Amino acid sequence: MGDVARIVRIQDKTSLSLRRRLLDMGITKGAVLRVERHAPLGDPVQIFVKGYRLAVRLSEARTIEVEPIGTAETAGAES
Amino acid sequence: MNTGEIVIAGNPNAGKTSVYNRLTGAVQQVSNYPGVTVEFVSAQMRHGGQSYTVVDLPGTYSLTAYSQEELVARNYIVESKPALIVNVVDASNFERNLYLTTQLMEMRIPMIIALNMVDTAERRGYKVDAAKVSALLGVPVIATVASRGRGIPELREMCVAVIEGKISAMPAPVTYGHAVDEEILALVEAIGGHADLARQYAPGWMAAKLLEKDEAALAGAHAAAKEDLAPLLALADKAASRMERHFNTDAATIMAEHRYGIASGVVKSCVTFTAEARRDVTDHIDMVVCNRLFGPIILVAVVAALFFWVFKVSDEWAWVPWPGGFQSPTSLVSLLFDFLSGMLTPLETHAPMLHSLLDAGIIGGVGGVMSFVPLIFFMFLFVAALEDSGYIARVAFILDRPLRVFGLQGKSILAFIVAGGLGAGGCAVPGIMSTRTMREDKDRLVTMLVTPFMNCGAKMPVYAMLIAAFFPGNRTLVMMTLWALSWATALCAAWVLRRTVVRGEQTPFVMELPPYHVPIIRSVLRHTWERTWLYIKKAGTIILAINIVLWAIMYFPRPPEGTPPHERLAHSIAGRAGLALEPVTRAAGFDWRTNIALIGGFAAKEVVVGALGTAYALEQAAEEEHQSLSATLAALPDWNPLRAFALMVFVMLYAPCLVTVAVIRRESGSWKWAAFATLYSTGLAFTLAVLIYQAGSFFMVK
Repeated sequence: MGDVARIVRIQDKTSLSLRRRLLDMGITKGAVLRVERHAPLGDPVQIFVKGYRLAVRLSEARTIEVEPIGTAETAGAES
Repeated sequence: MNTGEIVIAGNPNAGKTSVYNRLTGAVQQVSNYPGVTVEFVSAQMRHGGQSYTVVDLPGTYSLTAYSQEELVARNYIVESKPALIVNVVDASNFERNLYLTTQLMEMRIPMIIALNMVDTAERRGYKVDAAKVSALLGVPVIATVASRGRGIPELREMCVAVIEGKISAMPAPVTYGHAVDEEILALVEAIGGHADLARQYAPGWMAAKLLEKDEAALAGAHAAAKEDLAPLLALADKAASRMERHFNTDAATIMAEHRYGIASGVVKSCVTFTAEARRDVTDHIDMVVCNRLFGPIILVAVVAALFFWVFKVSDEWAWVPWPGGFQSPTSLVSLLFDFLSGMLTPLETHAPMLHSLLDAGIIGGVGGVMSFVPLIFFMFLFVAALEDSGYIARVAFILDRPLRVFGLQGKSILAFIVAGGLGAGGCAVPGIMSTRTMREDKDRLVTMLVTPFMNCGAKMPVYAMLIAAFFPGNRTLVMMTLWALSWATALCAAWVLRRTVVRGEQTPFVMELPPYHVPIIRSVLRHTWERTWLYIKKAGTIILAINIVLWAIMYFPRPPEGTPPHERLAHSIAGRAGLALEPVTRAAGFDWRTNIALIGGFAAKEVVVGALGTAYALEQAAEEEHQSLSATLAALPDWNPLRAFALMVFVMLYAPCLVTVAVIRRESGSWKWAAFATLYSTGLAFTLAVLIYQAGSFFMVK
């Protein structure tokens, strides 16, 4: 929770429709995202990316490869 | 080509509809749920004695044509070639909004950027330099706060200046980096060889779409060009594979990343951060509302409050001042229709046929429907307020996981709520239309097929009448049972459908959670009124017409003189049809009069009560005293609570009304699904009604 990470890539095996959808919503290489919280049943998860909040399922989130860059509070400000 | 047409495009929640309303003075709903403009609307903008058509396109994140809304928006721009695009950009969510801007720029149509919500952006510590954005993208940029009207006069003047050719607003060419640009250039040249294709589509845009292997654009290209496109497509394929080797990923991703590259370049040079970004109100609210423990509790509390509030305000509390004492809104409407009915009494002796038509056919039928307007109004008011606040998006977030078990997803919830899923009335038509925000896929189809099971406002008159007659002391209990049954049926049906006729992978959920804000009263009222008006309009047109037809087939042919009153109806067309079906429907306890009402109900369920009323009123001899249908049925020996309950279940589940079937046809794109929805739900309804009636009879006899 509150972890900040930089997006490395969307996995190759990801279906084209999901990949497009994620791209449309700003999940691109180099963007910084922060995991905000899980839904009450643990899934989906709310992330903060490019200055707004996005809900994705865990199965979808797993296709996004990231590298952790700490727990800064200002993740949304850069990207 | 429409000279002077302006289209408004932008992300969901960017304030597109507010800009539209402010520019035109139109009364289109605004809401805080991603994707409220389900169909585009247009209105006139007046300026300096001139009038311009303004079209509000559905809000989209992209124009890749992966959902219905994107395709609708994109096709509209491609086909109508508007004089100007007003791209509404949410300044507080600048970078992601610019992604769509780059795609609009590719379409080579003059554009103005309305940089909206600059106040919110500043509160969050960003400042966007409009002049710099304008210089970089080559289009005029106007800062606005559309919800308060700020910047709108300037925007309007700019629109007119661009249309009149006084200011150039052609976007700067979009560049994707050297390697991609060269491929595009070569393709543009090849497209130039197909004159029809180049005339219909901006060549640069088509080139980009061919590289992305965009199927909708490909189909459009085939339709536009007379010649064989195979050589061009082969060229595009080769170019795409060269790019893919070079960048080691698919062409569509490369293009998307370059578009974001442009967006982030603009952000870097035009946005200054005046303050540290801090956790805002939305974060604090989400911490509670989406909390593992409090989230579900709050959800249940909100639903319970809605249930309680809607019934109290519309029906139980007499709070409207009226001559002769305070009345509840519902009883007020009933009083009005009773009054009208009373005015007709003199006709009864002079023109019995006209009286029968007006009183039993029209006032009885339409009045029954109209008395539910207050309930539906207050229900929609509450839902609109929740939608506008941003809470419904959180409901989708919380309920996605449990709904997934049944092959549905979080976004299905809005359709269910609008269709009456909270148990206090709604309408399946706007419910099904709200599924457009889901992607074109199986989840959406299943949601459409089960949404009509919700207890919409049309079913309420039937429940109310039968409950008053047979369960007067247990109103809440019966309503709760029906509510639970509608949900259980919808979820189980979805589960079964998803494993039989609508098999396939589940689709991505990926959904924006908009920031919370206090509902704007004006927009909530508009939204409420629009949905309520659909219901009233239906009552005044379709229901009225069906009631008249039904009355006619119940009244004619006239039986021979001297036929006793209780045999007259059986003589009519409807009576004969009802009698013919009786051997089958007896299994569920329905007699031939009920059958008449149910046949009418295929058109619209509101008709059921009116038709039953007419059936019994026509049979009633003039000498009998007029009494309510509830009282009439309760007094009849062959009616009992079990039969009433089986009837309520049947009405709840059987064929969606004609308007809903038409909407399913339109939204699913085929008559097949519309016909399927009608048949499977009627089959299911009859099976359940028979089960309930037979099991109930068995235990009651024991």
